[in-house]
Amino acid sequence: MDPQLLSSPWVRVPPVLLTLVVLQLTLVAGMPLFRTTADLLLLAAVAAALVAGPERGAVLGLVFGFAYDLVLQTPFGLSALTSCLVAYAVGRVRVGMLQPVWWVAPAATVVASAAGIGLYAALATVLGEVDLLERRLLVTMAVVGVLNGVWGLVVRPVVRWSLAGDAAATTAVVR
Amino acid sequence: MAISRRTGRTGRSRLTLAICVLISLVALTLNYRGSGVVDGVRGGALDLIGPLRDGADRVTRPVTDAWHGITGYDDLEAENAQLRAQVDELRRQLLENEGEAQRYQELVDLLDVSRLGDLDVVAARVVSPAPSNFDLSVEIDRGTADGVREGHPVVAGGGLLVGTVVQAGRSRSMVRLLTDPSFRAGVVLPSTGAIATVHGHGRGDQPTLEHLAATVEVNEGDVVKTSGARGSQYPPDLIVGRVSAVDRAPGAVELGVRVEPAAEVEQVTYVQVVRWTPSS
Repeated sequence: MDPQLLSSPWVRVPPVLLTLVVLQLTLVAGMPLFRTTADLLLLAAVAAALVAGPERGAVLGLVFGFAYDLVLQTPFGLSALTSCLVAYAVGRVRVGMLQPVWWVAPAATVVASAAGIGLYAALATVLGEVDLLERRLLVTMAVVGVLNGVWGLVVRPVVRWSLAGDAAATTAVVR
Repeated sequence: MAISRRTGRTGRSRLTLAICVLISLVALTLNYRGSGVVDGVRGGALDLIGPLRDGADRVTRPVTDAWHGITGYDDLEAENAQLRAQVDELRRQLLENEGEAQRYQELVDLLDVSRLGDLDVVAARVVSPAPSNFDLSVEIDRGTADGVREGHPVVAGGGLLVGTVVQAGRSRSMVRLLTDPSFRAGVVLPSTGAIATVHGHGRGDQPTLEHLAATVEVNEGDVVKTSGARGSQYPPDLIVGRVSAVDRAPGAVELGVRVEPAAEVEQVTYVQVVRWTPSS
């Protein structure tokens, strides 16, 4: 088989996405901290934006978010909207940095994950779903930020690998 | 030249973001319009991912069990002590109520009241915990092939309300838990006959009662049951829980009432789906 085809994101991203969804539903959902779990799909969107910049980050955020929406009972499209907005913002910040230092990716993962949870709760409240803007939201944001920061040590390299063959992605970010 | 290329790239990325947002909004619109497409796709995903989830669950179970052992040790100790106290209390009640049970049965037979024992139920196992921080729904291993339909109530322990089926695939279903922020059900307090609505508030928060006038006499420990009122999604007398706190704010029109669910809704392993619809 053509090695170029095997390194294509079209081949690598779908199994990575499916694995992340299954892990979210089993391992991650079964390992709560303070009754809060990590959010691997939001993390993957952030990681994609760090690797591929705002444009592809937004698209991949949309895809990862829709995959998560499929297995949730929350409004369909809400995770997708949140993930693409967060990924775009992370991508913009990343592109704006001329010489990113080593701690940018972990820090961006923690901050963007916490912000993503806050954005999700705000959008759900605006849509009239339920009032999620409660005091506990701050705890949820903080714990998701920390947990995603830890999971990011594994997920970021995997997402980077899945996008390695994407020429547009590798030139999108100013190094 | 470099500046114009960068500006062009920024413009293109904004256009891409706008398209992504538009797609999300279309999906949300379809969802709110109650399109069958969304339900169909979600039901298909439920059946498709089910076997993969089972396999992954078998592999990851030792890790999650170890995690619970580490992070939940204190909770387990406290729960153990609480359960011992409950066993003693139940022994006492059992001795006291021996005669009551027979009288209750005679009364129920006389009035021809339907109870859970008379309803059509199917046993199910919870195969996956709540997958997200804002979605307190669990997956069970029964679906439309077993007669499970959306809207069917789900109970534990022979009549303790756990939630309701919100998505039914062929062999799997999703159950929205009583503690989910979007959960609502009509309830009654048998001690006073007052009608209210129970409303979930998410992980770690007890559900509350809404639409309960400040003049109603409610006490801590009062039992809360489903009302089974006309059009209700639930049959009567499913036990929701006990009143755990009553807040009588001065000047308030409604009472603030917290309810401790009778079932361990977020830790429950085996449940029963009540194949009951309002018309039945």
